[in-house]
Amino acid sequence: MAATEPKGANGRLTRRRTRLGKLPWLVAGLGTLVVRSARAQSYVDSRLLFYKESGDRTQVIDPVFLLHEDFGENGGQLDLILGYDSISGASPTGAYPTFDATTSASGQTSASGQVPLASYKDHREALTASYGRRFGSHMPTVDLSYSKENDYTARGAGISDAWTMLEGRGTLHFGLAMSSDMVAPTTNDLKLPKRSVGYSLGWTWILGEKDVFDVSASLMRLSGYLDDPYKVVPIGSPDLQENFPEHRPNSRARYALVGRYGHHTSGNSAIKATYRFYTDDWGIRAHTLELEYDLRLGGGWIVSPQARLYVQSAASFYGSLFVEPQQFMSADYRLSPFSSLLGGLKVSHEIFPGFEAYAAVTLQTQTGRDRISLSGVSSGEETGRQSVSAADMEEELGRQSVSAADMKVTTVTFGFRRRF
Amino acid sequence: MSVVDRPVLYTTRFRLMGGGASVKFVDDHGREQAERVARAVEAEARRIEMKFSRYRENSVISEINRNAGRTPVAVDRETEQLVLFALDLARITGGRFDPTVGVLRRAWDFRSGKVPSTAEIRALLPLVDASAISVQDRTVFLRRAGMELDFGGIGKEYAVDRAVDTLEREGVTIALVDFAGDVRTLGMRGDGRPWSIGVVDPEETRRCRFTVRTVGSSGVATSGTYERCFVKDGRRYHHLLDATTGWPAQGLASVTAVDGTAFRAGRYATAAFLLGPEAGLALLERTKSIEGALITEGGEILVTRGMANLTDLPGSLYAKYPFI
Repeated sequence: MAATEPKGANGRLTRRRTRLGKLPWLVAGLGTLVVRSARAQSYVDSRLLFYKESGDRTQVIDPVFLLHEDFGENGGQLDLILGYDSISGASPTGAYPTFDATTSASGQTSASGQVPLASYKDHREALTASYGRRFGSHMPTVDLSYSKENDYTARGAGISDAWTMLEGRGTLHFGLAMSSDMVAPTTNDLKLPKRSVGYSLGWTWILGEKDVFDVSASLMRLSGYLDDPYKVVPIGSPDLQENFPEHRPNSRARYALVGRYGHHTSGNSAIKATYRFYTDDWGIRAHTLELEYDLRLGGGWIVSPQARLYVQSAASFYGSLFVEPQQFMSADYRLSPFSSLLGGLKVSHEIFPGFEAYAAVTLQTQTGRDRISLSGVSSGEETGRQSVSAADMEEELGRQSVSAADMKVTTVTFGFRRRF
Repeated sequence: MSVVDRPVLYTTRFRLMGGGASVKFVDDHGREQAERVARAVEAEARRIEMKFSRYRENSVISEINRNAGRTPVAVDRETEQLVLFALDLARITGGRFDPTVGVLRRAWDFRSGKVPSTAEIRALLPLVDASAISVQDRTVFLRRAGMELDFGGIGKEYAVDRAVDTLEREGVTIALVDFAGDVRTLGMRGDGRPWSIGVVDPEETRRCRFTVRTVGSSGVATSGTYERCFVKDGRRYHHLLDATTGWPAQGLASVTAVDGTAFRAGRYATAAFLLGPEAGLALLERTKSIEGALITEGGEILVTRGMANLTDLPGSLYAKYPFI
């Protein structure tokens, strides 16, 4: 998962996260505990994800079909993932969240302002294929991915290896992934290339019978068109702004360090703790702490509560309002300082041997730390004439601050897995 | 002679008719002149408040009400025009809008949250009758004792327009007047972009559902269920009463109308609200110079053909090009 794209970022990046999540450099670093151990037999996994942001923002319906075919020791393993996202809703434009005025039914209510949104609708088709085969202690894997949406085409390829050593107690995994994307904004006729190269290196260590420790580091270099063509930057004062297109550097180096610890408890339940540190040369630093617990209840039932805390700082060229134009500037909330807290619960049940159904729900609250106060907006020069006290005015206007990063995100997933 | 200075955006705020009033205007004659303009605007708004408030003993409305069933009350042209306009609207809406509906307050107490009985409403309905208002020779007469004329929101909307008139008289060409949600713009914003008026979301009144963009002299007003209301047994009871039944009008959560004046915008917003989604939209559609957007109880937004391009709703020019 990319650092500036925790669950709850807008649909566009959510979609890219989905794509990146399939690439080996991330799989090698983050998913080892799950993915490698799961590769014991063939299965099909089919799931339907509903993703909804509060305030009529992004909504995604995302059915995914996964086929994992294990051809045996000499045949290798093939993964095919088919996805189709239907995305609709609105996303903050970056414009300053004030109105000249609000119109409402007569009375005291005064909606102080709202983060300006731009509506959009899109869908995305994605295909990822991955093939790996064991050669002695090595398990090299090749990945290819392709996705297409109205204004974005992504092509990716990657190779990775999991090198088992120390009599199976340790695995060194490393990978290389590349992507070549094309951004074609709907607001013009341009086609703007974007590329990435990712490297990963990790070590998984089995500590006795009950504990697994995994650490990995990754670097991703992006180049080309990295702006968001639909975002604007307000320049001016809180009262009067002009919106300009945003502009970001045309390169970015992203670094992540992940530590993960898994512990099997009695009754075959498991607790997993993950810490992730992220930084990039745009100035963002992020910390993620996640706890998961798989509680096996017997009768094929598994209940998995989950909690995640995410904190990030702002990019060096981020601002909610600029006094004057700068070489690089963005008001995109995904580059702003914000925090989020996620709680989730997954329940899975093996209905009959080899067939497992699951349902999961997550609730996330995201809060921006770069807040714009909407009360007492001063306008140029005040005449100073106020027939009521300042306290009255504050109460009347509603002392409120907003951030485009503020939102609540709900996801609901239904799925099943059939082993064969 | 006034001294020409650099243009400055001034804001003055005061409390008016139980709500907050805000006036922004651009002036280039120095602070002293701006203060004079601000005082004149506030004074004019206060004059309307005093004159038409039913809470003030010496207002013309109180005098008309005191003399209901007794004698016609001499009024000035301004009052006569307002009454005639209200009567005209009562006719257009088939009586659903009625300037005498205020008497139903005796049964409806939106603070206590008590639903009145059908008998209570029925007992008051004979006093809700626009056809029992006589306007003749500069006099207004409520023919039945107990009737009450109530300009309600009319006064505030009218005050917005009078404030703009005052600004124009003082030579102001760029202004935004906002009296607790009734808005009127004047001229263009300083940056040449349209004014942006947020329309409060009836479901979540701390935020806005969409914005209305206006250029030049435009009034924007909204009628909605979220003020002076209560919810009982899952049903919302609000102050926008259908004068023909005495009960809150059904089908809509809010109506926003745009017109050359806040007064007309406000009256047509209320009228459309009382008529319900279909007839309300039809009224706004067929009324010259009026545009509007209706938000139904279910949250759906219905707009007149011309309104679509005055908002940033999906499909509009402003939604497609957020830069403008």
